[in-house]
Amino acid sequence: MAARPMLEIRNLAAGYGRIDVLREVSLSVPDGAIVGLLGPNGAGKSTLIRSISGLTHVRSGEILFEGMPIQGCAPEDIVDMGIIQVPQGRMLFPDLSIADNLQLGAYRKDARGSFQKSLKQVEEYFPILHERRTQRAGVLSGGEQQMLAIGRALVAKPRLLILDEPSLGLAPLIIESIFNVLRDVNANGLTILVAEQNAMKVLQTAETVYVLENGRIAHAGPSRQLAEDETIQRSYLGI
Amino acid sequence: MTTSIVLQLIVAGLSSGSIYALVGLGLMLAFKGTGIVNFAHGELVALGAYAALFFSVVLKLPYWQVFILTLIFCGVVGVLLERTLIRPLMRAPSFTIVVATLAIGLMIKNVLRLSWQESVSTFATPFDELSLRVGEISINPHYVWIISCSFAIMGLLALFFRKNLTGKAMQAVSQNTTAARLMGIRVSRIFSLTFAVSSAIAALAGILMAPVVGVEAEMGSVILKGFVAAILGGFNSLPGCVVGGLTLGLLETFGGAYFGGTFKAVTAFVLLMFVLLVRPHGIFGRAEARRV
Amino acid sequence: MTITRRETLGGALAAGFTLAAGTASAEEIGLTKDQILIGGYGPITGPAAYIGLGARDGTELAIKEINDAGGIHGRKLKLVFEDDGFSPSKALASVKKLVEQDKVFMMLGLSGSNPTVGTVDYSKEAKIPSYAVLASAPQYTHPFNRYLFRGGATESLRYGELNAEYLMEFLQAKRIAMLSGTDENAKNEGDNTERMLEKWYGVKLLMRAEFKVGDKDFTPQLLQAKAANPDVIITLAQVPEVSILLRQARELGIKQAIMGSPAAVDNGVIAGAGLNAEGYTGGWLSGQFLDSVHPDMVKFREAWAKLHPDAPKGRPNLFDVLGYSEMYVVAEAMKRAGPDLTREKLVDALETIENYKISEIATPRTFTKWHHIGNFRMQYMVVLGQHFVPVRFDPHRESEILKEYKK
Repeated sequence: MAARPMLEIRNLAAGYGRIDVLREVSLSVPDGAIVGLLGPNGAGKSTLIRSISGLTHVRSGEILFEGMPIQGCAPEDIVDMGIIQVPQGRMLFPDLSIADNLQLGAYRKDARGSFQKSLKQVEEYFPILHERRTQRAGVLSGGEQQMLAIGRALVAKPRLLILDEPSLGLAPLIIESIFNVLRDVNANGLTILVAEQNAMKVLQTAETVYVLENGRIAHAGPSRQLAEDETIQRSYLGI
Repeated sequence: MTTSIVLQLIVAGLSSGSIYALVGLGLMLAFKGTGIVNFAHGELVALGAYAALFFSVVLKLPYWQVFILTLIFCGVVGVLLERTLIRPLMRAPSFTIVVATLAIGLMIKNVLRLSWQESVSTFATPFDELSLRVGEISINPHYVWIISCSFAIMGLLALFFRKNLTGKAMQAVSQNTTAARLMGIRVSRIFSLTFAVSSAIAALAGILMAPVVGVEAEMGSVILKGFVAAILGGFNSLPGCVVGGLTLGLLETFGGAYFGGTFKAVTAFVLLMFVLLVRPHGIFGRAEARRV
Repeated sequence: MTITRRETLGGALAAGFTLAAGTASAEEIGLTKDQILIGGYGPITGPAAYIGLGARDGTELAIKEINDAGGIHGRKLKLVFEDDGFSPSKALASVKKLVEQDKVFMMLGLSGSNPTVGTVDYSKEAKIPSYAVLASAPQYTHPFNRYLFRGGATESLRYGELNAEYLMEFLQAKRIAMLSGTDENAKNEGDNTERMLEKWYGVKLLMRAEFKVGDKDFTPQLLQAKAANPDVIITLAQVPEVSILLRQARELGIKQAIMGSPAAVDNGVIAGAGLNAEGYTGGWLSGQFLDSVHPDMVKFREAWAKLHPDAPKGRPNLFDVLGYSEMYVVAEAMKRAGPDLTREKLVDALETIENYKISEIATPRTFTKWHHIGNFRMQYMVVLGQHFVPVRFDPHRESEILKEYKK
């Protein structure tokens, strides 16, 4: 029997107002894995990720982090547990400098002490962040902004890193370098859940992939298996 | 006009300008930390002045204790206002919040008016007996104290925002509340802290103003001048706000002295219009260059 | 018989009986065997609240004293008070309500000029005795109306006459500069003072500069005044402006005497300007000043404090004194009208009031059959040792207003 998964979601129903965007979603992220979450626009990927971070109201079901139910917790408390999200659209602090954005990434108590060390690591991954550290985040290009958003999450010393559409609107070269970083930090033991429309990248990177469609998990399995299934490719992944 | 009168005017202009800057800083701080333009800020200035009056005249405390107690008292009032009246409205449209802060201001003003019916009052300060003389002109040492306090506050705030993690968290909350929460920042604590500090700065303006213009329920109208200072600072730049406040103070005083009272009355608005036309992002502001 | 007034046939019959029995009082509105109902209006909310609160509480104090002493011919006084928020339309609504719903016997105007003027037409039509305690607007007493009386405040032209006489004959000023607010009261007082200086003494102002209510800096105006080198600077403004102005004048090296308007003869000026207020002078609308140690004022203060042990700072104020002393003037007239009180008899009795005052806290009031301006005096005060003390100055010139009436 496998070890207890780091994140486990059971029969989750969640949404906005009275409308449930997610129904009966179950998903599991094993310790040390990269898990991909695929699906077309509007399938509910962002809602699922926001639910994990406590930003969306969970109507029923369970979200277990290392066996502990976290649904209903405040986003701040979930961050304190080590679940760090890189939100869609980056959500940087545009009027603060790159250095300040990174420092705020390490705001949570567990991350503050090791900030200098983790900062050095992040600046090795993304040297541009070091070069432009005094500039406002608002003036960065899209790719640089995504690097900053990921760097900001990495200095938070995440135990589980969740990314929502990290490749959205970026040039292939930049996407490549970002996924290289993700693979590298995963190799160093970080568990990752990444939601993407860009199926190719995820299928290359993740071990397990879930396909979300109309708020339900339509398929789940090892990425190799999904990559070979032509029906799935045609219907959901647009490959 | 003799040199001594010019000197007198400079000190008076800088002193009223410092008050404008201080009021502007408080407004800007609340805005930076919560995204709310607090229209009750002027009444918090008046509240500070009345609290100081109470501590000084009724409890007969010495000036320095009055000073500290007033700042603490108004800081606490700020937190209570935020917790009880502002926070429940945080999800409301910003117009609702503006109206709510206006209403809070009116409530404070009327409570002050009814509980202290002297038309104008003042309290003793250690500067009352000092006098700085230049020729036959006496420069009010209180002016010097006001100017020093304002610069000190500006310096402290600049340090706070640039160097302190909480100061940065405050800015983060106003720039993107959701993102701030995703950093683990307790937004509600930041809001309370913002209101506490902003109200304490308002109270400081009140304490400093009181001996010069007297304590009265209408003193909150200084918020208009504070607005001009804050807008000159693009509602973002601390030095911009201070330079804006001082410019306004000096322009008013000298303009008034050379061109008469009517000029003085419109100075603030002419300056405001001018800056909005020529430098819409404030004196030190930069045009928005965000790319997303 | 306890029935006084009903909208029924029985009521009308009862009224008929009482009339037949010759006790006319029972049919008079607002009057019972043991009570006289008095309506009052004034601002108790908004910026002018200190006026209405003072006037109301002063009136209530007098009423309490009168009632404790047995009332007037066995009747106790009762005040029904309405807030007018210092607005003419609300004052009119208040008066209508007091007359039509509460059915008061008479009306006390405990408000400023503008609101009080708003009630004039209605009060004349209702023929209800109305006594304005504080309003100075001429519309209240010109043209003459049998039912309208002015008590505590005097007329705005009279301020000008008194100021001119005081400036010339007591202060012996030759060169006068004027700084005045742009609000209605200050402007009127300034205009009238300027006019009377010229008419009575042929003296022209050296200069006149204006400022707005709420201004915090008077450097420009003061520098202009200083340049004119006057003997006296007269400043017409409210307390907050005057206290700043006095301090700034001394800072700018202005050593001349500064005179103020009755609106700014107030301890707030001393509180606000401190030692810079020394020598500041101006007219006061009542007798002794509020913090005087004159036994009458001490007695008033003690009685007031007993009724309001937790009084806010700044009270009792001038309006407490005026509310109190004018209520006594009205009560004196009620007494003179006799047990068979009617509105008509009250008016007749008020017209017999001559040089009446309850004590030294007030100045005397006189009404006649041809004028209803009760007060032509102000007691001039000067700040000495951080207190307003009365100066010995008795105006002797006959008022132009009375000359006008006599024609």
